[in-house]
Amino acid sequence: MTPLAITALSSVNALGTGLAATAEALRANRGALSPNDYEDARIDTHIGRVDGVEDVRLPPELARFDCRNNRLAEMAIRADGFEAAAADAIARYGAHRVALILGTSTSGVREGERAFANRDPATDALPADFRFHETHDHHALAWYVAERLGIAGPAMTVSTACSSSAKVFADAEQLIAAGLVDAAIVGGADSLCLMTLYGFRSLELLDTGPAKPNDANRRGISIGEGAGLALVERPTLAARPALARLLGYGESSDAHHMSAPHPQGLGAELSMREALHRAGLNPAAVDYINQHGTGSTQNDRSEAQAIARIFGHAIACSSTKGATGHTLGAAGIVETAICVAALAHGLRPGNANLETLDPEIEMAVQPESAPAEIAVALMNSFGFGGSNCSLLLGRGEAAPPQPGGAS
Amino acid sequence: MIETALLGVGLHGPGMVGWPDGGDVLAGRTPYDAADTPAPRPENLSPRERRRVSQAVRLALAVGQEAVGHARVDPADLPSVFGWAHGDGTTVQRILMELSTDERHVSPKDFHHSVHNVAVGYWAIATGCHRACTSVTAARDTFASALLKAMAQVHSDGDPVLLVLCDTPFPEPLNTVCPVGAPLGIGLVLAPAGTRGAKAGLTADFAAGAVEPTPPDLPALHDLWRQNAAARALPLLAGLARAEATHLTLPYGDRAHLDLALAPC
Repeated sequence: MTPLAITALSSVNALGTGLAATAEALRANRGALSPNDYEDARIDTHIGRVDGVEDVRLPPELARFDCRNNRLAEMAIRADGFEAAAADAIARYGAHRVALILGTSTSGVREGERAFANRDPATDALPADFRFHETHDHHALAWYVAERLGIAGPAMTVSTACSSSAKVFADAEQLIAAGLVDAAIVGGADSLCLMTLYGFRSLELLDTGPAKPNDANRRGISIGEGAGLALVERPTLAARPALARLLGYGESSDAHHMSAPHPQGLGAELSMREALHRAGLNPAAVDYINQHGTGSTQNDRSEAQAIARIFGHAIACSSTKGATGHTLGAAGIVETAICVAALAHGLRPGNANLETLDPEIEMAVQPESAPAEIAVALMNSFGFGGSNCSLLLGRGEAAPPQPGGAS
Repeated sequence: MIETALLGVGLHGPGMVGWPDGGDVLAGRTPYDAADTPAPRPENLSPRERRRVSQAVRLALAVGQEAVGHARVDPADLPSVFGWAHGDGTTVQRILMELSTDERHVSPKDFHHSVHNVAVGYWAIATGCHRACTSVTAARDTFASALLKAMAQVHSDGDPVLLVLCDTPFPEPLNTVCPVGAPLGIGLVLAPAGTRGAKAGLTADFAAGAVEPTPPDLPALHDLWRQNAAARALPLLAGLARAEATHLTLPYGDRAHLDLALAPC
């Protein structure tokens, strides 16, 4: 495929708001998981909670969209100069020539949880102020962002669990290649809620301490939250230098089980091979892999087998979910931002919380971040339903965002 | 503008069971009778899986299966795009009810069945498909968004793509805040323009300007069309059933629309 330029990118996760904050935290090997204090969820686990969500106010004319998930999206709009970049693109191409494709797994389901907790005890009626379509519904996120940024192009929500906000890049490439739009704003958001905390507990997939992906003593995942937005354009039309390039993408299905990965990582292998094929790259061209690496033993091992079959055992890999938590439907965009930071800053992100590498993870995984020349990074996102997506990202020419720089 | 071929159709809704009979109803050749609607029964799920999955998943798989059969394509080779306006509200409501209790004992099965991609996940399992499968929504404009995505994917990869639309009603109290009317599933197999065996050619263009949605001709379907997002596709299917060249404008957002043209082969 013809590479696409990523000319603006914003990131919000528990490590901080803005790409530079994430890069700084990674460089300093600072993790962001803390004991669960989310509302009244009485679960012994750690979470990756974004600071300041409670204080975010949506513009008054869009107050009907107010919920934790759309507040995270609002933070992503304000971060990294994204709002101005989006406005530039819309002015240049026209509002209906810019697509909006966002991923989420649970959108604003927290509002549904509140509504059901407060339903009429006699009739079960939900409270009159419950705004299903603007908050709880899957498409609430893309609807809000489209209204907020003034996008009139095709708007779509992708909801394939934890691969959601990776697959949006594939959709954008297809719409742009077909000439239906000139540019796309992609990304996603997922927010802490009771449904995922209690749901993953029911599957016995939550670690009590901070998640330790790839570690021999790992015990499960830590749920996080996050959001991010990326502006992707044809390099020949882009008016600003690229922060990074989307070189290829791969998508596949395990066709195995709704909640467990294929034991040998068949779907993971297919999606990584397809990404290489679309990019026209050999495995040797890849310098770093940001694993899906949730911290569940099954997931980490099946992905590692797939990586080893393609890339061998010397490839530098890490999961950054020990630092950010697993941001579920936002993982694709949050970890794309981490890869872009790695490319731009010359940084190989460490695998937070790793003490003893699982002997079955036969790759070069280091607990600490280190300076490294990274020209091509691969990002994996896999989800329930056996939904897999891999993105290949290459360096751009724009200067990387600096901490405290213009936002 | 983007152009594809339409290879096959699946249909299951009130008074429209299967494409041949349902097409006759949409074309006005057979009287409409909503009372005569047996439950969808996908053949490619094991009896155990069929019992485990929700009505919405059974419906989605049944119309997907009919569409690939009509198109004479192997489902294992087919990328798919499942458009589902509001997901499985029945399963989500069970979880929300449970979370409102002191115990909060969410069922693990409910939790992993609550994801929006549950139908496409089971489709991949049932058909042994390892291709790209996705699950998308644009609320009431889901047909427009999923169709455009599927057509762009055909254009991009040159392979046929299965598009499935499926919306089923929620129980109360969710039904009050999001009425879906009656269950409706539609499957379409799209392929590169000029593919042999095509039933029709289909072109789409995304254009600026608001339009009003086009209702189906049958007044008896108007309630369904107002409430169930998948029913936005019915006027297109009616054109195919009548073998008439059909031009439709399909709302997509408040400020744009799809121009759709169907040319039966």
